[in-house]
Amino acid sequence: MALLKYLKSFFVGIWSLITGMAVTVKYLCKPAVTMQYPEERWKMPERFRGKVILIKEKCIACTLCAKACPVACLEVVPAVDESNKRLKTPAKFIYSMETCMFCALCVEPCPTQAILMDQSYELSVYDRKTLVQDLIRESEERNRV
Amino acid sequence: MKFIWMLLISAIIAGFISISAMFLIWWERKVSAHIQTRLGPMRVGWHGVLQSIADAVKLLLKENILPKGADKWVFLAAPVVAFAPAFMAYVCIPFGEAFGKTLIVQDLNIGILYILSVTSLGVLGIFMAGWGSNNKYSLLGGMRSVAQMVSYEVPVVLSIVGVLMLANSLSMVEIVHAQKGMWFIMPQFLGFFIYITAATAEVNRAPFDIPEAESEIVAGFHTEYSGMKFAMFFVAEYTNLFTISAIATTLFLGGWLGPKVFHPVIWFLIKTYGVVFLLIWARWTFPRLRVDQMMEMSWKFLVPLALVNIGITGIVVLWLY
Repeated sequence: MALLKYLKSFFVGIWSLITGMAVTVKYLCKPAVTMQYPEERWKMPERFRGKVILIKEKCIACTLCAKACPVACLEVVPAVDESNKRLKTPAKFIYSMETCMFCALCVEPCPTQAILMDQSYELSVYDRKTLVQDLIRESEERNRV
Repeated sequence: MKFIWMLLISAIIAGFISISAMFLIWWERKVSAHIQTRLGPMRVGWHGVLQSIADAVKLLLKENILPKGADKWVFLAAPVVAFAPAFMAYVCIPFGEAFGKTLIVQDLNIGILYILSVTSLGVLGIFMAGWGSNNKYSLLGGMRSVAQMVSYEVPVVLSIVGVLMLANSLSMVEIVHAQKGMWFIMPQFLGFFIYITAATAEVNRAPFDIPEAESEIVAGFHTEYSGMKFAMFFVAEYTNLFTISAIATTLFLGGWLGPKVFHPVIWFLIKTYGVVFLLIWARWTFPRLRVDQMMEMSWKFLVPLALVNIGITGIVVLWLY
């Protein structure tokens, strides 16, 4: 009886080893999940909340976005004409990314969909000053391209 | 003239060992990575083939560190003592037949006995490293290693006795020639299984890597080693891996014999690296054994099985062959 038990344990042991080897060889044949980062990048989903961007032509400088921002990282100043009358275009649109918490609360109240969040996620910089960005200039640069 | 010839042969073997060890390290990293659905080294060269060379250069440039309170000469000699037996075993490995000659440094008539006795000297280097480091983990690792290698020597030797009975010779070349009709893995499957298991333990590889057991005793005997001395241990480990695979190929898989599609040397290397792949595959599948489980496996499982194998082979050879 003991001998039978010994032999059984032998075969059960071998079988479990083979099962384990089968699992690993199955994974060996599967493609790797690793991404070769600088060459391959994630494509972010459409509604991903990345960096805030402005479409200058649509903006009416209503400052609703700046008021909605919980951390006050947007500074919007409307343009004025000679008689100090407020124009429907921004003169200054400063975005400070170091305080931004990517909540998208600025995107929601915009009546003209001029402020959006893009899919970028590589937002680190070498200098803190570069985190404070002029979105009007950026929008113009984008248009030129 | 003879001296120059000897020098040339040892240079060729040293070159082969280093290239083979580097290739095996790269290959092990790649296979393990893909088993874990990773990619492994990818940056240096095509799919990281030059990674091992980069690592070797890095290790060469490192400082030579001697721990405080270490037994200086024992500590310094240990990597050499561990590496030398791995190197010496190549004397008797037949790589194939070319130009009507057998590619073997010296076809000793006690070839397999020589390899077994020489490779078992490697444990001395490991114990010297454990003792000389003046570190409790190293000493524990060294002692575990001695216990493991001494007890697995027995099933290794017993498992190949069946082959020797069938081949009627201890010479590596004669053993290969005896397999012309049928590779010895067919009648000696049990022997092959026992040999592979025990030889894995003999070279301290996972699942029998308790002498280095990263999670228990840091890195065992080579905790205190760095730079080139560590590289020597590493190369010795992978050279031993190649050696046991070459022995398995010679004894069980017909050595360099095979259909005329490839050159005999290519056949030998294909089979040997096939066995190496099997060992790598096993390493990245099975968890590490406990010390007591490992001892039990040797004395209660492999040794009786090997004795049964010898008995059956003896009966068959004596009365039915």
